[in-house]
Amino acid sequence: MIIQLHVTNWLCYKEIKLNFTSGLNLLFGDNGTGKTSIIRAIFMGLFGECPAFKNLDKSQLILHGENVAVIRIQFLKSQSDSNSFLVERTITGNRLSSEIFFMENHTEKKTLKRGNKPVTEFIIDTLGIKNNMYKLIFFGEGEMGQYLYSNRIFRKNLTQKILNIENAEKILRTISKIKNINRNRIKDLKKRNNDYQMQIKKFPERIENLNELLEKKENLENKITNLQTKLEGMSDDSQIKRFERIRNQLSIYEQETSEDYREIEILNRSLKSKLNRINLYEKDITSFNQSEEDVLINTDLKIKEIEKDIARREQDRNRALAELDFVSTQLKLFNLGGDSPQSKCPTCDQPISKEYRFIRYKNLQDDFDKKKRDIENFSKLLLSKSKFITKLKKDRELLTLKISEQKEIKQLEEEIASVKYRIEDKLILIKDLELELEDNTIGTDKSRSLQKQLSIHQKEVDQLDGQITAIQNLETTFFSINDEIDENIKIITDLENSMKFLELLKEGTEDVYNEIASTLISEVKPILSEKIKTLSDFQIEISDIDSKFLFPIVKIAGNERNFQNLSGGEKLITYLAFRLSLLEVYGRSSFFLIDDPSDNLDSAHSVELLDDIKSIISPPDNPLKQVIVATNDIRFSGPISPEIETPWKKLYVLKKQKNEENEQIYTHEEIEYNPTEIKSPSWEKFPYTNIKEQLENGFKESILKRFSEDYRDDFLFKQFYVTAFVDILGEYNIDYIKVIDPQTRELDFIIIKNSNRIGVVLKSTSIIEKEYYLDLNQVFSIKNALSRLNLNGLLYSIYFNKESYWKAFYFSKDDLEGPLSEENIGLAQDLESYLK
Amino acid sequence: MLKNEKKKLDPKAIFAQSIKNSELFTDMDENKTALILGFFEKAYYNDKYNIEKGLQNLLRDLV
Repeated sequence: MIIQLHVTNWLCYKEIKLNFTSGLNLLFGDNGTGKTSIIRAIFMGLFGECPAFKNLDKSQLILHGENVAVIRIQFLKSQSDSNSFLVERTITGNRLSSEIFFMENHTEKKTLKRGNKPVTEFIIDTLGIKNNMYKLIFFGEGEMGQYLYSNRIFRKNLTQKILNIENAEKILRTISKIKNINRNRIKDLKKRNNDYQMQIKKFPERIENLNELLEKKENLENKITNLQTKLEGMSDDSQIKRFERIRNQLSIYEQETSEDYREIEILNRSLKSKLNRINLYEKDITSFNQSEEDVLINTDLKIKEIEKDIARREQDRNRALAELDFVSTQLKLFNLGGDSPQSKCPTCDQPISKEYRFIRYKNLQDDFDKKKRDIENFSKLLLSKSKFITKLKKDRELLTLKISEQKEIKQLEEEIASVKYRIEDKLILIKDLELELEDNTIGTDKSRSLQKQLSIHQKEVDQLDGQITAIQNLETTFFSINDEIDENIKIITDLENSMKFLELLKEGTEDVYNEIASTLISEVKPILSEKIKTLSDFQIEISDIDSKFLFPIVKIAGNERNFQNLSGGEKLITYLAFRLSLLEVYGRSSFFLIDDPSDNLDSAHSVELLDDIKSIISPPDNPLKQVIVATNDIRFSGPISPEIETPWKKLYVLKKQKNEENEQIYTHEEIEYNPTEIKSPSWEKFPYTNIKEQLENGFKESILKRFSEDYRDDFLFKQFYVTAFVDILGEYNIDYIKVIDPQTRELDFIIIKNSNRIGVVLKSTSIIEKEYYLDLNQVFSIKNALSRLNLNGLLYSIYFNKESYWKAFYFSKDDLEGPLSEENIGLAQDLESYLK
Repeated sequence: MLKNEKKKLDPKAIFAQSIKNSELFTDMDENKTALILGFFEKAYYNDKYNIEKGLQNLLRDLV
């Protein structure tokens, strides 16, 4: 049994020391007040690990800014022991170190063991946790919710995890995977060996051929040697050399001649292209037909002449233009004279007769016309001359190009002729040499025949060499394939041996899994139905346990029911009973840690679960002696039933607040149940039975007197009081209960019930943190809700559904008297008047 | 079911007993048995243990 937890620098806590007692220990607080940190500290302290920190670096468990965290847990082997044990786990950086002490009379320390593993093993043994199944004592955050709302595979995984057999399944899966890999590998290697065998089957035959080939090669090489000797003996050296020289010379000449022919070909191509160009020039030249040189000279002269002529004619034209200008002036003067008979000569100023003036004018006009025509003729002539001279110039240019090309052609022709002469010379030389060669050939015929034979043999030897190399390569391949076959056989043998070991491992692991699973069926099954009965009134029976999915098969009223088809309450009770039975059979622990059991559950299920958990420790013969629960559900601290006097033995209210320096600090208030001092109400003192009697007798309204003023601001009292009344409302068909202060005759609080909701209004203040009250917005919305429900009272988030689950929260009147907005002042006044 | 009550649900003990009872266990030397038990212990109790790698290493050591 755990008696004390003392942590320093652990997660959010600088330091906290909590004492625990047997029975139900509650850690109560809002989210983020450090409840879970405490539960996890207990688990970590006892077992040196915690599932939630599985993938975390341990240094992250130390309070920010500190270097070392320490968890100390003092525990008893059995409830009545006068000596205890103290485990100390120290986290420095990412390292965990452990030590356990014997505490004589709970004070004197004596080291028992050091080291993480030995310490954990000692604790497991001392606390009486069997089979190393310490994970069973921890009911994790949201576990119930996950179980209720998931499928059977997930439920199976969760059970495997709790029973610590999830890794057995992982091992089996891995074995199966490796077996498959090995099996395929063996198959592949055997197939490869078969293929190799087929390949090397033909090798010996071919290798026999090798000797034959080698023999053949040797014979040929002998023949070659003989031929070479003969050749050397019969040939005159100088004659052969001369023969060779002539042949070489001839070959050089032939080579040169062939190059000359190629040159001629190139020159001819160039010649042809030049001739083509000349043809093109000739087509364009139209001005003359004479020989090019004459034309060239004549054309130059002609061009000069025509240019001179053009210059002359331009002068003539200019002169004619001047004359035309003069005549034109005179004509104008004559015109100025008009028709008057006394007109005067424009030049001599003498009177001129009309007749003379007419004749004179006509002459001038004729002269003017003639000159104009002359000028036009001049212009035409000039234009034609200019065109002619342009054409002449162009033709002259083409002719120049043609002449230049012709000169080049001449050069080319000369060059071709020279190459031709050279070829002719070479041909003569070649002919001479051929004659000379012919003379020499007669002497070398025999040697040539021998050489030919020699060359044939040489070729045969080369061919044989190729065949021999191929066979020798085959021989190497043959040996390497043989090596590979041997290697494969060895691997196959190893793999087959591995398969045996894998099979052995598989059998062993399956036995572990089956042994634990069969215990589940044989030992958990019989106690499970009983456990359900002790926890609830449900008529649930367990017909069997599904060995595949490791879950109880539920029977209700004689019929087997699928888990998914059970009601929420049935599911809750079945799982909780299953969980506790597992703890009893596998773990046999005397204590149980529960972290936020209502997480992931809806309100109704949450409330039911809390009641069930309270019932866990009820039976006196229950091996479970201590339960530590972390919760944020305020109802959890309320009474269980009139028959059970002590819902819990120790209550810690955890808080998170800011200190004077505005730093976040975590504090706690310890509340201990002590029946002798009657600090808390008891059922005997509380007029519960009376109320029930009155209600059963048909009262629709009951006025209760508060029996002691001492409890006015007592947190527990209010819990007790409110939950008791809400219970009554839930059970009986009444609308509301008013509680009147007996001295002041004022209304103390009121509990209201509608068809599916229950509201509680408290007048007095409470010690509970502000967060638990409604804020003004909520009050406002509640007012609307109330008007919809046609109630003049208040309603505060108490859930009440058809299955009679409830969850109570409440707020004090004082909260409504804070700084209110104008709108809410009216509301507060309404509330005030209602309360009065 | 094994006789020893304390070891009844002890996975390591069940495993050890099982492999010793197996026909495949015949003539296996102590070293190999220790290797197999060692592997099982690590794979079963250590969630961070790489089972596949460990198994491959074990087979290499055994064969």
